[in-house]
Amino acid sequence: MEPDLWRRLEEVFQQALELPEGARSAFIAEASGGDATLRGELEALLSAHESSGSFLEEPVVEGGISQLIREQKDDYKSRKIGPYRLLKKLGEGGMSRVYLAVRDDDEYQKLVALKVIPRDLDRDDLRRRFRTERQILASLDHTNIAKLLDGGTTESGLPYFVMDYIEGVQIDEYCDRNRLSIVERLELFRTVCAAVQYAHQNLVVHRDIKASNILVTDDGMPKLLDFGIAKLLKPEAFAAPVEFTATRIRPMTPSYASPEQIRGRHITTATDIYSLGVLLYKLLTGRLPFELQKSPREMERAILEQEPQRPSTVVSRMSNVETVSTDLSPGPAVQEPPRIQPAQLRRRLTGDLDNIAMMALRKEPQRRYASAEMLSEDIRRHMEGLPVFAHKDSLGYRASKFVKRNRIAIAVCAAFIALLVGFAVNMTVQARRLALERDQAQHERDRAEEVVAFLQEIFSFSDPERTGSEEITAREILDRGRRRIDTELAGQPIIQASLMEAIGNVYNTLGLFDWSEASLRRALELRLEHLGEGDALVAQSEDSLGVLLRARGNYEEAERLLRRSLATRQKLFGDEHPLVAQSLVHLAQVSYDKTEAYESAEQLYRRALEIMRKARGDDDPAVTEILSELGILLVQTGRFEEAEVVFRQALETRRRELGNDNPRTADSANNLGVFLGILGRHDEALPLFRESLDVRLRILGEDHPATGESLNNLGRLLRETGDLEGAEDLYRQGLVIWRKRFGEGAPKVASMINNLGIVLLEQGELEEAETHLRRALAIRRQSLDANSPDLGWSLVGLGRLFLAKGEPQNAEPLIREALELYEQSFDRPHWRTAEARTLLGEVRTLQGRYEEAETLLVDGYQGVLSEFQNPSHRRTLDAVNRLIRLYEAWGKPEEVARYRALIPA
Amino acid sequence: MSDNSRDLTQLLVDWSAGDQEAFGELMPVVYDELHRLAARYLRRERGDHTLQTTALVHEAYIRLIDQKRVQWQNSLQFFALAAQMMRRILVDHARRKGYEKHGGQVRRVSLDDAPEVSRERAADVVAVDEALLALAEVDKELARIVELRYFGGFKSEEIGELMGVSVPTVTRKFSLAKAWLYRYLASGGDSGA
Repeated sequence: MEPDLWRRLEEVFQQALELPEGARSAFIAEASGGDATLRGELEALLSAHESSGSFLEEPVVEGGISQLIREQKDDYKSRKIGPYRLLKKLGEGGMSRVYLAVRDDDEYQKLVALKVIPRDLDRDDLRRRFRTERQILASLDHTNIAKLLDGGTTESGLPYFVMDYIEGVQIDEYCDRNRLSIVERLELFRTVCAAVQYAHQNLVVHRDIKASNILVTDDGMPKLLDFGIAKLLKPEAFAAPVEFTATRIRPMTPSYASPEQIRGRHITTATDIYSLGVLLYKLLTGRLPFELQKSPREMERAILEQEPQRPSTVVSRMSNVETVSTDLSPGPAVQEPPRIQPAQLRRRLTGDLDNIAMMALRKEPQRRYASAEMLSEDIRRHMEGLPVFAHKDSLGYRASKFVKRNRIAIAVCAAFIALLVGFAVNMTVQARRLALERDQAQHERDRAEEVVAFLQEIFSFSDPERTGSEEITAREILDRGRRRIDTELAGQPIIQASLMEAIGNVYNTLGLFDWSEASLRRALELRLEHLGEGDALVAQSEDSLGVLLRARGNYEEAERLLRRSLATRQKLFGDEHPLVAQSLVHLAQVSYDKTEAYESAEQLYRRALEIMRKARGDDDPAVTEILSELGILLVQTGRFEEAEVVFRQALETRRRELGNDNPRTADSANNLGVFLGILGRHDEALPLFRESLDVRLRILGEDHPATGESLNNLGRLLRETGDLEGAEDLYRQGLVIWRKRFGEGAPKVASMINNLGIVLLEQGELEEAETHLRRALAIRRQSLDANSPDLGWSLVGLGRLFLAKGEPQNAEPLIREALELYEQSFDRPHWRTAEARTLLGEVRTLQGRYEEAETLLVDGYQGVLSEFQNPSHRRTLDAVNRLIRLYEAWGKPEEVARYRALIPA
Repeated sequence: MSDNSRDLTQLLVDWSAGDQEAFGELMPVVYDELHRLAARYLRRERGDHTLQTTALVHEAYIRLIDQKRVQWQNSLQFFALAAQMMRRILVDHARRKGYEKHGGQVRRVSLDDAPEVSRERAADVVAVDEALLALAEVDKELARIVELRYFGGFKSEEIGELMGVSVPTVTRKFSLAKAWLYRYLASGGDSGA
């Protein structure tokens, strides 16, 4: 049939169909004009149409592709989850799908990423995994981590959550596309390190850090994504990374996998450090340390056994090729700005950057950087022309760095270092010579100790406690000293260990815990290896490390080390030795911090005090130190009168012996201040806190944990005196320091977070308060023993929040738990027990159980009053107010009036 | 997803953008994949045609196309392609089962071993297939509409979306195609035109 004719036929056919059946025949006759063929065709077709019935109406295969089309269409277009409309699928992983979505009721139409378990993959283990990811994301709030925005369950009960949608390019692509310079790349990388460090501080190991999981937005902000296989750590795992056991999850990206991931061994934060190393390598060279091999097995072998080429070597190989293939070709994989030629790039990478990348990529987790922060710090040092930690040391290197940075200080410092090392080398050479002549081991040790005594004297120059405010260069001296000890004393392990320990202790004093721990562990390792267990120096190392680990909240390992140290010392020196007293004190601190085993801690302190007084006399600083500790314990157990005597005694002795401008004196002032504050004697406490903060700021610096403590204490005092905003401000400042120093999971940090939460609660900022109070409780539950009374602070805090929100049903279990804890922990009346009772009373008031409420509140009020002996103490007044609220609710105006009269105008 | 999926996806995108060469490259791959899968399904199949056909195309789709990189329109194209493939596979299947045509008769061939394909709608798929070939010589568009609807299960809306015409147009064109095919089959393969 001719096309024209066919078109005509189609037209008429369709017009005819629109007519009633009876009219069609006439229409056709007219419409086809004289064309008989057309007319015949049309009639035949219409007749076929009428008798065809359901012919072809249903698809040959029911459902068929159409069903699929509609499913897919749903996926793309109209499917909704909760209030979100899904726009398109962004990706599909082993256990979840991610969609680009938009909130339907959002007027700004902000794009988000929505992650959900697909129906066909709904399994219990995946749900658990999914919930963990959601929980992990919820705990992370960082500019460089894609944020959790919302979550819920779909209509069919599948869990989902919503995150920031990051519009960006993979980090390596971003660098190349924008032709970032090496410095810009390093800056970008350091930002990624900060995000990883933050995750680690929140006890999260990402486990899948790679270029494709880091997107950089248009404004140059890198964002870490996909915590899909991330792992939540227990806090202990941080202090002792090697002891952590993880489930065996094979990494998704072999090129970025660490040896321990390949082996299915323990996964720690060090695993992320390794992957960061791979990323750094990629950003600097455009290559991976281990390019994909032919088979997975070969790949694994390479990761486990081969040293990657140094970045500068890789670049120089590529450069040669590039040079041969002329200048017109686009540059090497790393697109340096045109002014940097391949040879320059190689020179740029040789040395520091090689060493930094290689240190992050070490096979043994414990030999990598101890944290992402340290990796980042080393890069900063490189960029500022300071010596880096990862360097293979050499004199020429140090000298060149030094000259570059500071021509004036060089003479002084060079002399200082020459003196240090010259002396050490001299002594060890002598020791070795003499050792040949006499009893080897014994003599070497004597000599070693001489060296140490001398060097420790010099190092104590940089211990801020000895020098007032002149600690500016301390860090520098230490860092250099550490490198030097590491390399140049390698043949003298015993001397090396002593110096390492000295440095470790000073790092600890400076609040640089990561570095301190690394040094102290190394010292202990060396001593154990070369002296064996039961040696006095091993005991000393165990003691130092134990003290540090306690400060970091790793109580179990700390206790184990300190007990071992104590046993050794008792065996070697007898029960009356000052070193034994020292061990007892340190052990008391741990058992006190860990479980608040007050009674056993008190016994330990008193025993130590006795030994120390006998050995050194009453005015000795060591005696004062024990007194301070004992004072704190007395406060905690509510024995205020005894405590005040002890604190005043300690402060006076220190003022006399050490002077006012000394961190130890500041400690004592602080302690007395805390004590007076608790008693509500704010006017007396305030100047003590200010003095303490001032000294700490000046001498220890604004980043020091002790400075954070002063901020915390002063904040608390301001809160007691009603300056809530002032308190909030100080807590926030202090929290920055403590988070940085102790890490998010530390009990101390929890305590400050809790304080911040309470201040916000009292200002009526319930929403933010709730976030902080919950966080603090979560950290404490994770890091403290279940029967630690410190848990009570958080239970009570969150309980009060629920009371403020008018949710007694939520407050009740928390407050009851606190009350039980307190009743178990304190074997005598304690204001905290009494206060908890008033809170339970308030719960009953809100529940309308007035009689029970009255009993609890009156009882609690009297308890608080008799503890503080101060009717206008804030906590006493809190109790009064709770009574007033009861009687108002109960409709007893006389009682209301009676208690109102107790409140000062 | 296999490595060549990228190429396929690109082909699909290019094809959607009007590149006919891309279609030429795309089709054999999709067909092979569908056929391989179909063979597997049909071998073990004892009745549940519905489910398996869907699963089959779905699997092919997931396997071959990187969904991050295609738009809905591309996907629709893919399904149209799949409908075409399904037609071939079902016809081949029916032929292998021995339902050979008998010259000149209206061939009532049905998929007896696929019971959910009911006898009324039935689908003598081999006959319809041949009739469609004849229709395509007269009007390709009509043949395509029938193919999408009958072998692919497309709804009028989807056909409209795919071909860029309105739903009533699709409906009207289908009526004509249906009448034409019915007449063709009823008259034993003589379209009369």
